[in-house]
Amino acid sequence: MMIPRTPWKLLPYLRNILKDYNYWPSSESDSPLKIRYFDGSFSQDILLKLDAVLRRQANESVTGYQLPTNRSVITKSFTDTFNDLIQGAIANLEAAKENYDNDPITFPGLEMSAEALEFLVQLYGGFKTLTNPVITEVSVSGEAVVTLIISGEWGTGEDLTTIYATSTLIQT
Amino acid sequence: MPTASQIASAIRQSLKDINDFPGTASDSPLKISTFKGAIDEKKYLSLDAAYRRLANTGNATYQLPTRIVSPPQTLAEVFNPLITSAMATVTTANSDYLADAATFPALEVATENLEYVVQLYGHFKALNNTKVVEVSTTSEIPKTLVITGETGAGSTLDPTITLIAHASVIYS
Repeated sequence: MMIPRTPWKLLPYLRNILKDYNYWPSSESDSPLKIRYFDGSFSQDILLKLDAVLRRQANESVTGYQLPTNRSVITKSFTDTFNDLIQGAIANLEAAKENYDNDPITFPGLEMSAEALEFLVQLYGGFKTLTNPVITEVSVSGEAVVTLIISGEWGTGEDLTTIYATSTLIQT
Repeated sequence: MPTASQIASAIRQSLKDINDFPGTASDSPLKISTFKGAIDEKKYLSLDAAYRRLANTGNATYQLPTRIVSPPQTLAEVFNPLITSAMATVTTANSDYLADAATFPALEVATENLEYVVQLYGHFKALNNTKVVEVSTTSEIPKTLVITGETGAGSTLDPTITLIAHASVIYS
């Protein structure tokens, strides 16, 4: 499928990628992504607000949960992060294919690995079409919850829209 | 076990991104349908006849040639070589991508192709009495590819439903 060239078509395109398979790697829990948009560009303040919502959700069973004051916002290279994940997914896929060749009963492992690779490659491809794609992680020392935000921009000035994916990762 | 129509809609969903049966020179989108009962020679010939008549629309004097229904092949016989070849293409596309990031779109296409054959195989593998048949003629290049599988116990309450993926293909 051709990657759409307008943000309003890119949103459903990205959401459709997540239909079959939606697990962000490098998390110890199921970490589905959600795709949204925002009018304007992201500031540190907005990133912290996004984190606050997800962090409270992740801690909703904790009575009297207080948002930590020491949250750190870390920016990661979009390209390097995806490249590392894609290479990891390809290595898994190659191993799954070898297992399958030795024993056809392992087919579900091959299916899963192919879906995982496609998920990453398509997400990368989709976000790559945006300006300033970046990966942000908001974390707190001592908490396993990490908020992942993949974002990119469309348009300029007053018409600038940020398209982003969020997920709650568990990293102990 | 999901019903035939649930599987049919899952397959249709997986064909949305990409629907091009590997190894074919033409655009060969698969069509998915279901019908009550088991497939037989007559059904193969009628699926094939529809494609041949369509390809010869406008030819008022067109007569269907003598057609040959191939002996059935197993899913594994057909899909394993396709998966191996799609996997080799992913590996090559990834090496190209590592050498030159501009080749990313080729990695995307290779990944989608792999996912396509793996998913299609996975969906049909879940059915009973699966087989792959080709209908060919000595005078016309296109062949009609018919992949089938069944659900149901063949009783009145749980009738046999055949799920078919079919396409007119020209192998390159």
